[in-house]
Amino acid sequence: MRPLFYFLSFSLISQFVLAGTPPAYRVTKIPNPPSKFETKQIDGLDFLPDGRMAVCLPSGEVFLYSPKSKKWQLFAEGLHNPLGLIGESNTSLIISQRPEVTRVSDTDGDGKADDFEVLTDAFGMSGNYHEFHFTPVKDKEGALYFSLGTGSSGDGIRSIVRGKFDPRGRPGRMHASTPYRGCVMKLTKDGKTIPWSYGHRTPNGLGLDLEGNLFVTDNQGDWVGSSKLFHVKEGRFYGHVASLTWKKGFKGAPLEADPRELAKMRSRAAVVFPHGSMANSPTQVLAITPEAKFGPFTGQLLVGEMNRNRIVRVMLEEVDGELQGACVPFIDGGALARGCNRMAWAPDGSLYVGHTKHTWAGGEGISRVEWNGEDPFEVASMKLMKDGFRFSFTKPVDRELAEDPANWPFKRYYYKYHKSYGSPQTGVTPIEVESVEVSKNGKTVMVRLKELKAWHIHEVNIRGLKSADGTSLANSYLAYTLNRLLENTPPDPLHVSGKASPKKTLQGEPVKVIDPIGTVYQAEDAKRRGVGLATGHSGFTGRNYADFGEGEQSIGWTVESAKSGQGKILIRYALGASKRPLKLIVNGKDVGILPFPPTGDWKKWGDLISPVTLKKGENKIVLQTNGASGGNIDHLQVVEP
Amino acid sequence: MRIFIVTFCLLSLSVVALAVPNAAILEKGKALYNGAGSCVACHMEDGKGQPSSVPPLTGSDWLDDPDRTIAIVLRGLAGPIKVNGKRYYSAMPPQLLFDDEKIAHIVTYVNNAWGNKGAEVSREQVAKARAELPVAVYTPEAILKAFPFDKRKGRSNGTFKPDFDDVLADVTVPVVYRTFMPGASPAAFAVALPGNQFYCWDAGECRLRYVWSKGGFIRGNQVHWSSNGKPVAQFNGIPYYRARSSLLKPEDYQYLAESGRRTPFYDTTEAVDFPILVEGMKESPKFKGYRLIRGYPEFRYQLGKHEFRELITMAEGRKGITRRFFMEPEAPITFRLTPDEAALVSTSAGVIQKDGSFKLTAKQAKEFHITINERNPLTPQPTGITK
Repeated sequence: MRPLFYFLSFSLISQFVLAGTPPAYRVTKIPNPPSKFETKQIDGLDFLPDGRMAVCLPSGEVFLYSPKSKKWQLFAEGLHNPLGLIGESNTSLIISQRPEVTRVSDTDGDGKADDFEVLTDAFGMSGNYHEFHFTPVKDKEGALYFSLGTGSSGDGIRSIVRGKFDPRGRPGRMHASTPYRGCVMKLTKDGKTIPWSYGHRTPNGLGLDLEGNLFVTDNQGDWVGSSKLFHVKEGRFYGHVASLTWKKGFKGAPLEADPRELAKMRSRAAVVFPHGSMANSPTQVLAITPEAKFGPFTGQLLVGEMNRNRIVRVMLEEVDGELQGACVPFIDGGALARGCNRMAWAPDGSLYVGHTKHTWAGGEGISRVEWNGEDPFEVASMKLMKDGFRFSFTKPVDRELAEDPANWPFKRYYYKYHKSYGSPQTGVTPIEVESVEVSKNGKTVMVRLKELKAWHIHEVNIRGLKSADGTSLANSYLAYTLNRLLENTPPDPLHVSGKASPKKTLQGEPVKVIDPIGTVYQAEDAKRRGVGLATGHSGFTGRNYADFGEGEQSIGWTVESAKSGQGKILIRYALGASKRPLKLIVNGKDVGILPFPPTGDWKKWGDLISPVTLKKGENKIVLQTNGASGGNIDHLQVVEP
Repeated sequence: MRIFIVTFCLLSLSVVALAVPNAAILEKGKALYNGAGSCVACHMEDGKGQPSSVPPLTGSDWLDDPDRTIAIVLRGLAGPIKVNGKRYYSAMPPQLLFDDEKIAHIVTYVNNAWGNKGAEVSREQVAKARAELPVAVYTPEAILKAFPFDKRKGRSNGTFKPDFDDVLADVTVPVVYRTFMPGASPAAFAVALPGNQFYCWDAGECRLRYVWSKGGFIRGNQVHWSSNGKPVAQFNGIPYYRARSSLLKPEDYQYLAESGRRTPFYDTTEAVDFPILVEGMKESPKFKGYRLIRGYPEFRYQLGKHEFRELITMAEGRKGITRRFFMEPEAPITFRLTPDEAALVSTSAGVIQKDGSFKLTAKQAKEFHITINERNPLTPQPTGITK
């Protein structure tokens, strides 16, 4: 009991210290669109020139909302997982949906879309659910940019895929077996579709700054130590290897390459969002425009966060020819829902936020954030200097508090670049503060550090700072991604781990055989003894899941293995509360007890992976009750034959 | 036993109480019912209505209370209702063009046509209702609260809460969904036509994949719309027409709904079955989009310099679909259909050969249509495409 108590109090305190929506900002809810499918997840959001808001939903429905009359109107239906839109005119939207970028227009003036024009579908689809097609943005010249997610090893691919299949891009935790998965794409004004940058994993969110620089976020995972914001430039590679399959001049299979060579190709992120404390799944990038009524931050970037109720603010600067900078929580907690996925400025200068989750951590509905015109007490900028950082504040600081070096606890660290999922903070080192100097007007604080180290994140959690008028600093936790120093930047140390792992397979032409590896063996197709089938808890694959009861019951599959030896099976299951172990029997042999820890909710499905010894050809794999009932079993998969 | 006797007595009493309506009134009612754009337009001359969209008037339990019938005619009724155990979705508008006497004639006719035996309705009855009923289209709940059913009849009437499967099982307007479909590339369309003809069209290869009619449209399971988008759509029916796919072997069909494969059977750059051959044209078709014409999608795709439009509607007779093609600029073509035992295929021009192909001159190719009808809706069909 005691450790739990400590944990709780710690998290409460850290939240209190780290962040909070400044009091000058108010969050309210907008009524949800009347979806036929009762979904309240908002996957795209923008305003039309006439001031109406357009939103798209996972159900493929598109609604228009009049902030004046507070009425919703159905505009279009039947799109395939649209994940972003641009209000092009009062009668047409540009929408990123799974198969295409589509112009959806009302050409006969009845208020409902009747024309769906393909602007581009020049990219592949393996049919893997994780191959999301994210939000379009339009630059000043009228070119469109959109981003293509990679496929997930959480499922395989379909029997017919669109676009050229290349087996080199198929293996891995996240894959790119058809063209340009893992790329940011450009659709030029004259209709050419070009892979614009490579190395993206889950690039859920593009945005342009006021100068027209293009940015994209990425989510932590394999090859992505912590979530990131990239300044997108043509032809660059940003780290996730799967898309290299589609990069001209790249030979061989990305996963077989020497990670050191890959690290050398990689361009660093402008901003890294520390996992767990800043953002776990950053989403859209939105510049604070001069028209936005959102406080003294014009030109800075907002970045949504899926996992919690937070919008992060990003302050960039150009150092040695590249953009880098700091991030800080901004609108945080309180009435804001989680899953801050899409954002747009309303004509009145307030911010509208669409929330979504897609079975991950997140939220639902639409929030509106208004600024009341009073200056919040916040860090207005954090700039790299030769010997430390210069902080500007929106109000004069309390001189005494600011001048105390103990209130500026800095540390630095980096994230590793490797195949594994995420990275711990590595090389964590506290940095000694040499001096703090407050400017005459009290709005600038120069913090001199004993050492600045290139290619490291420099993090500070300013302690107890108040403004001269006694206001607490709303958000005191900042992380500056220091890639380049003002001068004499050493070469990128790469921070890479892992070795080249060439395999004999995967070269050459696509293999057209029925390959049992990775096949999903559904519970409903299994031999069941006593075990029932059910559909009551959503989130399962196939038609049913297996529902264990009391007494001796079992479920058994006949699976195929391409070779004999040690392999791994994955069992997808859901389990509400307590542990329900099951006996694993392989080819008649009692192998042991699989623990099956609870997933926490009967609707929450988790994977249990277990080593097994398989023989070539058919194998019988049985899960049997072990004195008590078992969890709900969705399917079995041989993940490593 | 006692209950039976009582029921019998009640029935005979009510029969006795009903006077046979005046033949002249019935004649007037019949003329009004069958007038242009009148009741007949939806409920049909035989009073049988239309499957899933327009409830029947023949033998309808809803006609057991003439005041309820008058209320529906005067004010309209919109929402899901059950009539004689079957589910209907469409809305009946209020009949504003008829005066009290005409409505009395129509209701009297409906009450006594096609074997119905019901009350004669008077002009006064209608006038009273018109003066007293609230001025709003009835919801099913409201009409049944005002005019409840005789519970003793025990028939399955009333309203119901449509679930997602219902919404998609009984189609009254064309429904177009882009979703993962079995046996198609991931860029697929699932389309339902009113009267329950369903098809899968594949934007990945610009062609019709298959057509089915029974078992309802794809299951609009909420899981799909609320989840991460993983599930492949499911449906219960078996296609009666499936277009040729020479890259798939018969044994492949059982795997077409899978999403967990390591390698595909083929990718669309290898596809060789585009049904329209234009001499000298080696390009693959490019999908350009679609337009909704009264809700029906008209697909458009480009083959070299030729643009094709393909509009698919319900075939006359409602036993299949009609595919209307427009080619611009026109050129001589060979069109390859797939012979299928379960389907009757015909074309507006050209002669279909044994292998399913037919040739059209440039002039014929400019605008032509193909009809695919289910051959015998009752015959068991070959193994389907669903898992």
